[in-house]
Amino acid sequence: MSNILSIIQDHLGLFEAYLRKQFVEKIRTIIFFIVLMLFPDKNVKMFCLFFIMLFSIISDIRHNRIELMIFLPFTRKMVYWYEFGFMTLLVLLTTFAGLPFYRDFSSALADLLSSMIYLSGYYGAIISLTMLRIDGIAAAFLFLVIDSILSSWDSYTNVFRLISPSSQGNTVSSLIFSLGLLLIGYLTFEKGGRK
Amino acid sequence: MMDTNYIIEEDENVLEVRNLSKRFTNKQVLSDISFCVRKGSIFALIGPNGAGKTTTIKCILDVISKDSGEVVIFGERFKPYVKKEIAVVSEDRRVLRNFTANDYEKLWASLYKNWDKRTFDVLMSRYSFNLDQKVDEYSIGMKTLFFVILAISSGSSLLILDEPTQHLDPTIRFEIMDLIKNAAKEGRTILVSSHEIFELEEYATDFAIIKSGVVIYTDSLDEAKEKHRVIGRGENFIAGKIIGLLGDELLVRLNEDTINVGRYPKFNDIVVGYLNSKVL
Repeated sequence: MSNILSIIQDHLGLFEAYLRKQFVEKIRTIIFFIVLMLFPDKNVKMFCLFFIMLFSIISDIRHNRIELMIFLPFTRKMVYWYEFGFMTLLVLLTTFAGLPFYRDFSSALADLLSSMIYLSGYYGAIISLTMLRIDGIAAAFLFLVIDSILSSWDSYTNVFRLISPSSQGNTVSSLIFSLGLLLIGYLTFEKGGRK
Repeated sequence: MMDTNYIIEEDENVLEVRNLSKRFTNKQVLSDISFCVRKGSIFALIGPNGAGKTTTIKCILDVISKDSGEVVIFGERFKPYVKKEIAVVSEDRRVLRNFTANDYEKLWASLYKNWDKRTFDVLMSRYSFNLDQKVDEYSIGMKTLFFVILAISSGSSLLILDEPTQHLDPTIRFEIMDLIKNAAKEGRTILVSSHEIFELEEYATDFAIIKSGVVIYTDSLDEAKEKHRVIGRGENFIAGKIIGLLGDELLVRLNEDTINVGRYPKFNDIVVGYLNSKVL
């Protein structure tokens, strides 16, 4: 038990250090998007998350800056999950701070869920594409275009629309699909990035 | 599991690299590399540019994966949490964006549990660093000095410094060499990668020579000097192994029963002799 507590304590300390690093490096970008994300609309949150990803980890990958963290007591696994944790924190913070702007609590929770599905799916997919040696910005827009085109076909036979991380035709299916992408992203980032 | 209070006996190895190999697509960068780093030693990883020194360091720290081999740190196979006891100065001196020296201090203090604030303050003040200035704005020499100060102040048992004196002016070189020597005197173990063979004689205690991804010789400086001789033109040489040419002279490795011949080599004679040798 004390072993588990010590591991949790260790991770909390490292996560705090990671957050400190993110805030010092990207404070202006973070504040700008936090303000925008207070707007009670899931599409605005998705838009902001997309650009936060670009300015944060995608930019770090493009400029070979992940190594800076790996030379410190961080691992690639930590960087992947701490970055996801950092963006999750932004979603939670802006959703709950923006509660007064929502009609009711349930619509805020629905937005929160939608944002998390979007974040998981896009984060995993973009990182996976980046690990295939595709430029980070190109990977992000490539997935955005593919996702938009495939889910734009409005028909009940369009399975992708049901699982799309942005359209979320079916919440449970898109959640499962996004979690799958998040896991694939982790595996490619952990294995592929160390080659 | 996350306990990092390592107790290493005086004669134990802090780091052991065993049969490490690494290939990038079609190029074999490291081939069966092995060496040991004793506690309290300043171990120099020597070799020309592209020999595989930085790749070795990255494999040791698991920044990149190794194809085969083993890295043992503090007596156990590499685990990510041992990095809390290892401070690294990377070769490219890249810095975290917008970070001032103050920000770095806070970050490192939160990552290294043995962070020594007093040492950090004393050294920063000795070299008149502006704590509020962005580190990216420092000159390359000041950046290097700053990172070496961070590494020393981290309180880590093992310091890994990749080319710590490259592109530096003589004054800063001297300061950094002095800091490294003092850290070793305090019982830290230091792995230095460098191709500056003349200055390594000033502070290294052990070394490994890497050429084309292969360790061609590893020893302590004193032992290596004892085992080798430089033979001049016309001098008789009875038994031993010819290592390589040193201009008009030859570096030879004596057999145990060989009577004393030639002159004792300088450290750079040994390195150049091995780098000039045809044997891999």
